[in-house]
Amino acid sequence: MDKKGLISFNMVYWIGRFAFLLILVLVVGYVVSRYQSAELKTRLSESEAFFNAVYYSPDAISYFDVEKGISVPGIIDLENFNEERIESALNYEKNDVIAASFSLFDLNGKLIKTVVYNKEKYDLWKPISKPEGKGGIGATSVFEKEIYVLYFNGKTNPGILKAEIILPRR
Amino acid sequence: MKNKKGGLTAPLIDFWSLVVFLLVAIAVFFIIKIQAERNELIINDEAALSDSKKILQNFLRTEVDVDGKTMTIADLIILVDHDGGYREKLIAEKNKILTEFLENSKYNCAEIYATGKNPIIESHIIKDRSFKGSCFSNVKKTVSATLPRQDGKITVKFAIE
Repeated sequence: MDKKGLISFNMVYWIGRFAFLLILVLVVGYVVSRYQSAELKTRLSESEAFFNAVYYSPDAISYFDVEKGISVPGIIDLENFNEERIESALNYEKNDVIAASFSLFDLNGKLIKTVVYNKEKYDLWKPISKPEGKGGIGATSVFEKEIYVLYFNGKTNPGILKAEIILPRR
Repeated sequence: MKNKKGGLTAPLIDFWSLVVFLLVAIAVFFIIKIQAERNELIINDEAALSDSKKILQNFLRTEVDVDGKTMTIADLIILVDHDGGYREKLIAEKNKILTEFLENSKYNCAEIYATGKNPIIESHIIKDRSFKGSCFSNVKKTVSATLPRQDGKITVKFAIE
């Protein structure tokens, strides 16, 4: 190979190396971004924590047993089943992270009462809500829970608590 | 490498290193994907277990009328274990509650077993006869509770899907 040929060969060779480096950077960047997004899927846990806070908090919807001096999670006091109780129990100052509706039915499926937490955002997010993993990035994620509960209105009755918890996709 | 042979070897090494790197990157990508899916499954299972626990707890606390006396399903199970009486009452109440709950909720099947000295309840309830799907593909969804008895304990196992 003469000198001129060697120079052009080296040029092609280095162009190839730069292309290799570019592919390397792109692949590493993609793998790292996949790793990060895989670690950040916490919406189900967030919705679960929120539901448990409402369900177990003594200041939220639970029935308070005066004789024993304890609140009983799982037994919903109809007097406590309202927006104000849930909002005071959770105490978000500015809530743009979660909204939910709780509907209490009797065991025959007859609706007793619906309570909406963070109604302003709920009305905004509900029409664009999709189950997690469906819909685009502009959609919100909805998680549904249905629990067999007891509700107290002078005596305890069996019922079903259905919750729809909506979180924006940040 | 200055000679012609050496000049051709270096690009070949680059090519093979690129191939090896891409293979490793693809392997890492799949490992991350599998790990993420497994984490998601664990979280989903935990959420399902948490719901099953709440349902079982509230089911055992449900009040029923037994010969004019109000007692919970848990009390009734203990009573059946003790002398075998009221077994029909327990089965009827259990069927009524779980069938109505399944009919008016998203769940399709429920399973409950209670065992003390002898089996007390062994029951598998399906939403309706038209339901063709399979139940309990995931055995991890079973939760249990224990009730006291004179010598030992009564174990109640429950699963819902």
